Amino acid sequence: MYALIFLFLTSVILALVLTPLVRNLAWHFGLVDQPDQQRKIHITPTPRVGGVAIFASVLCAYALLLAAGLSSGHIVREDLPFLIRLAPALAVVFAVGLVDDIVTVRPWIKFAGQLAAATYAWSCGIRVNAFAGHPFGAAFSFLVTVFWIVLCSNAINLIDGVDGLAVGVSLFAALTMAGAALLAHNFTMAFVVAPLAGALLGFLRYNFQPASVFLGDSGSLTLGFLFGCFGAMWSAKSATALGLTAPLLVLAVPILDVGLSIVRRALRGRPIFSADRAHIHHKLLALGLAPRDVSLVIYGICAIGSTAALLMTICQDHYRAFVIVIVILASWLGLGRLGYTEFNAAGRILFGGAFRSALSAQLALEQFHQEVRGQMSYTQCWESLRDACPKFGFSGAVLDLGDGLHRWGINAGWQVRIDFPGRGHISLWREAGVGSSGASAVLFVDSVTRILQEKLADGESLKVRSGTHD
Amino acid sequence: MINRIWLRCLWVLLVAGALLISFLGNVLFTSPPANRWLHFLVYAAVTSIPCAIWRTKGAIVFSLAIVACSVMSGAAVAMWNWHGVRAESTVSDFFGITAGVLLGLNLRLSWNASGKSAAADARQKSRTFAAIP
Repeated sequence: MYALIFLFLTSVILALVLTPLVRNLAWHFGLVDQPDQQRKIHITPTPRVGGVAIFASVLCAYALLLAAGLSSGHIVREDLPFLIRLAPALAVVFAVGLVDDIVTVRPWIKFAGQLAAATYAWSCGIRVNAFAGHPFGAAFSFLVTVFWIVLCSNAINLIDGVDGLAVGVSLFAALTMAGAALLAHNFTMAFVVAPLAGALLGFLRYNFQPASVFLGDSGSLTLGFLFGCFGAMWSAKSATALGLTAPLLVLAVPILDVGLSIVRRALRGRPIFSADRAHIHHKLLALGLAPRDVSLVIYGICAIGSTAALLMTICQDHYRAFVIVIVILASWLGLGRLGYTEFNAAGRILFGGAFRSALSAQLALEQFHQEVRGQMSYTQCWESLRDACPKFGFSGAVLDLGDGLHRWGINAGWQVRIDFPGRGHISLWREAGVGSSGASAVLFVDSVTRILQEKLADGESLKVRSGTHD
Repeated sequence: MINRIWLRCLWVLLVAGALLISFLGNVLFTSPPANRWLHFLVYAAVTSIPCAIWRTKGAIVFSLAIVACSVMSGAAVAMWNWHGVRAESTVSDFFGITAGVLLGLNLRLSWNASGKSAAADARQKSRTFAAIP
């Protein structure tokens, strides 16, 4: 326990000392983030390689523990080969992030680096082997582990949009993981997480609003990668049905944010890697909160998530389902308050009757197509058109194609008029204020235009048929 | 059509059911998991109705106080005549109340949002019709 406290306090002090040094070096080499008032909302240029200070502090704290010769140093010595084996994966993620901090890297290159590092971590024994008590095979374990680690890396990276936010969220995650490790007597994990928590606390002194140094991609990607690995270790050590649920709760805010971003962009038909200003922290800023308040609100949510994770670790098996239900309801409430238009629209389409309405309109359109398909006279076409109009919100129609003027319904409100040069026209009338079938009405108009053009192209034979029919 | 009076009646019935389960749950349901889930669901339902539907804060607080009294009376019975399973049910009751409050607030939020959009649609419609001579 003394060794843990030693590691924690040493890394706090080292972070407090090393961060200003790294900040000054970043200024010297010009590694600063320029504000653009679009996505980068800070006021003055700010150094962005703070991750270097955090990881240097952690490494120095371990070195000091080994040099101090405390009795618990043997736990670190025992796990040293494992940490050394994992070091190349960490180095890859850190290097990719650092290169991105110095010269911007394409998103897919960063993604490839994360995939390679996650694969290497899996081969080193960092594995998610079960979820909710159900064990996986090797192939599925590989897929889940790589997905989990890459998800965590990007989650911390994406939430790094407000001063102190990513570092504070990571600090909560680290403290919770350390607490859970101590509760489960998993001292290896406690020794890995404690110095990281200390370094984050020391760094937060400089990163909280107004920040004098940023975490940078070198810091956020590596932190996310580490939390992914710690989460997998946590899930492997829990012999019960806990699995990844507790790590998910600890990282609930960043993981929810990355999940929402993917779904949002998919709904809008935009690339998944594209940047926007609709992350959770952006939504809170849009609600009128100051950047400092945004960080504090999200710290509060993280504290609730951490408490739930610890509750799940402590609680007996039969209360865990209740905790999950409550977390889901709380997330639903939180997302409702943030007012994502994408999800509101999707909800209205799925549950508000818009889907049913669109489906019935599509079916009506198909039926109309079937009716007017083939060699049909204008009169028969007109009758089909007249029957179909109300299904698409049209209250009246006028058809004039040289064989007499056809009129139906109420010709008031607004109209769509399609001219067929030299042949005539069709007008479809819609009463003003009709809210339903808006999109399908456009499809209907488009369809009627196409059908009538086809019929007019074959006009001579139709006239003969029309004559014989009438 | 479910109106406010029907919902009040339903809520009263549910509170009566909650009280019955608090006192006699272990007699009525011998399987502990079923008992836990029943406690959770009943208290979630009893709490979500006032949080979602009652209009005034006073009515909501009063309803929640009655629910809390029901849980406390169950806990008091457990303490009076110590019974481990009943103590576990009290924990389920509290989880149920938390879930009910959250569910009620979610429903209130979504109904308010749909009500607002309906009102906006109606305003838009009246404005459009007014524009036609």
